[in-house]
Amino acid sequence: MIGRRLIGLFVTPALAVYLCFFLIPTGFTFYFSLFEWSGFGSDARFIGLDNYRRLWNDPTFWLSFRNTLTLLFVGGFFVFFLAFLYTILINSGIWGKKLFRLVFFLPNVVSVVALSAMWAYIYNPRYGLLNTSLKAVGLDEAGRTLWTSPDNIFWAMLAALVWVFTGFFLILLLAGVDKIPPDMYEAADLEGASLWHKFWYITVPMIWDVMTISFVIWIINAVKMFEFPFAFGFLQVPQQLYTLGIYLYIMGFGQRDPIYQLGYATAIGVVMLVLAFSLIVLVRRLMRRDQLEF
Amino acid sequence: MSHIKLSGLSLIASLTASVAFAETEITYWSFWNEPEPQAQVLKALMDEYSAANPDVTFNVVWNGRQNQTTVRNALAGGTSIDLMDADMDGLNGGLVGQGAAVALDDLVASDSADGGTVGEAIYPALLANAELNGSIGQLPYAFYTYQIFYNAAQLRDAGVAETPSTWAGYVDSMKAVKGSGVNAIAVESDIAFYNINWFNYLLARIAGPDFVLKAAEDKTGETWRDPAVRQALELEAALWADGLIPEESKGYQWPAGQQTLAFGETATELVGSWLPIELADQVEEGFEWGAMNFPMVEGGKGDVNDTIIYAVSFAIPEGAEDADAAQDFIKFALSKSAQKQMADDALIGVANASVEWADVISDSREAVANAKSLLSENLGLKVAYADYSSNIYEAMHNKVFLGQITADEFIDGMVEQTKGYWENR
Repeated sequence: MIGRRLIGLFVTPALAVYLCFFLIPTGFTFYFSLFEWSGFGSDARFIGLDNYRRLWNDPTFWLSFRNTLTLLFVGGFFVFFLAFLYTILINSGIWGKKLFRLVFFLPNVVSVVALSAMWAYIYNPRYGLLNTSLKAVGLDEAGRTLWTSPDNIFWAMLAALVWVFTGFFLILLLAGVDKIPPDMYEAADLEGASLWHKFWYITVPMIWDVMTISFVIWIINAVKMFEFPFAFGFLQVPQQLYTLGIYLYIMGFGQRDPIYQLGYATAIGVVMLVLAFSLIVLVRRLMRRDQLEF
Repeated sequence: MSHIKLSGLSLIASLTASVAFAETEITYWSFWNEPEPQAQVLKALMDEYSAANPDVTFNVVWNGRQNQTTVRNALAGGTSIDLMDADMDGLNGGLVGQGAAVALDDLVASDSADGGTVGEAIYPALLANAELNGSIGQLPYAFYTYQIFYNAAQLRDAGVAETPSTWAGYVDSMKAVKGSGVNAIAVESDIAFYNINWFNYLLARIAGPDFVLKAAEDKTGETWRDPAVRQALELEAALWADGLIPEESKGYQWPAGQQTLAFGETATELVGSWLPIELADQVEEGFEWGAMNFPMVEGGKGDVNDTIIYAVSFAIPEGAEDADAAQDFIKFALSKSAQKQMADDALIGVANASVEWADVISDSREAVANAKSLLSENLGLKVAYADYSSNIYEAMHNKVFLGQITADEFIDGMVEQTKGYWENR
């Protein structure tokens, strides 16, 4: 039996790192959100909960909040729908399982800036791949769609984002599926189970823990979503693409305008933290189940 | 370039004869990215300066456009920075506006190597823009103008012999261009800070350059109901309605719009004087660039020569260890020979009024020389109320410009959001 002191000795370094680089900065985040501060010099002024009052009345904040929730739920639905669909197909014994894994995961190893530039060419109204393909198959009306016009740009970005993230979650789900003993599927085959039955009655229960962690990772990613919509906006992110992460950046770091409201930006960060934490707790409670051992 | 270098060296020798710095390393954080031509010229200037002042060396960090933000964070962390640069409006709303920069009034009043004072060598209207609350905390050394850039051959082919100076003349000439089979005006739908210049210029021409700031500062928001606003919205909407701006531009993401100019499909674009340089590798050889002033709206209160600019300035953060050496380098960088090097090699407009600009932007220099006022971006809004400028003014305008909302919705929205902005401050 390892003594308590020895356990303490091993745990202390990790605890110290966690304390210094996570818990204390998080505490400071709450603290700074109570100040008005440009970040130049030491002119921070305590204003209590004023930054939160301002957030409540700020239409751009609510636009960013709405976009973030749309990303989380609508984007999440399509990401996991496609990831599960590909899981079923790839696991059905088709040829080239590893190749398909590689192809689907590929967007995750390419720079976000390169991906967004590629999508800009796909969506280009004149010579973009999407419109020229649609016209080539006779869909002239659809081929004239302005995918990146202000009305459509958020959905165009979301579609590209789903494409990027599906591969990542597919790999997670497939890793879980690989752990399932093959004799379960063989037994199901002998009983004449369909692809859907095998997925629903064997795969889903057996990868429940992987699904839970995947949902948690997606929530964290979606709530702090910044890079892809920011790169998609390129020179200047249109307001239609604002997420909480982008709005935080704009208010704290200005992009090309000298906004520099660090206290306000920090308050947005606190909202993001609370949102992510609440959703994670909710998902973990909803998905709590007895663990299967196999 | 060697003769410029030699003259630069002799100039520095004469400049620094009375100024001696002991073992000094100037820490310079730059607004430019290292591969950019502006950075290369600055590098050459630093080398020349160090050659003439062997005890002075430079420690350069090429941060790019987010330089001021990076500098702010570094200063907060206790890093000492002697010299930095950023866009003029950004500095007036940031480092200088927050009182975190060294006052450069003495440097402006000091003798220049070319005769006269340092300040006298700079375009007066440009220097006036650098002033904030009666003091100068930044010195501009390069700048761009926002004008209507055009393919001169295409305008000629369309029968436009002279660039128009009135709005009616401008619309007629654009119709002639469209009639010749070329798209008249390129826009990038996603770049609100490009598109807002239509509205800025129209309001400046119709109601004067102070109108936008006045409207933003009206806590009731009601100034946005001024007839000038509706007139400006109607004039820019007519450009779309007449097909002078192609409908598909609403789907253009930068640089899709300007590429149509490079490929000869569109004749003009309202944009900064960086355009000819940005498209230098894409246009055909012999492409004839021209730039015209934004036309005057008949009966308006503004001046057709007023030009909106985007300037880049040096500033010295408060507490800089080698502020004196940094000031001496700024003086050198603003000298005629150094500015000529910047104009010739980086193809950018320069602050020193005696220096000619490159041929591709010679029209821009003429506009600056004729301008009584050089207007800052968003007519001062970016400096005074940067969050309002970005989150409300530019964002709302882009919606109305691209047809997402009507003029009435824009006006009501501006009234409501301006009121909300002041109530929420």
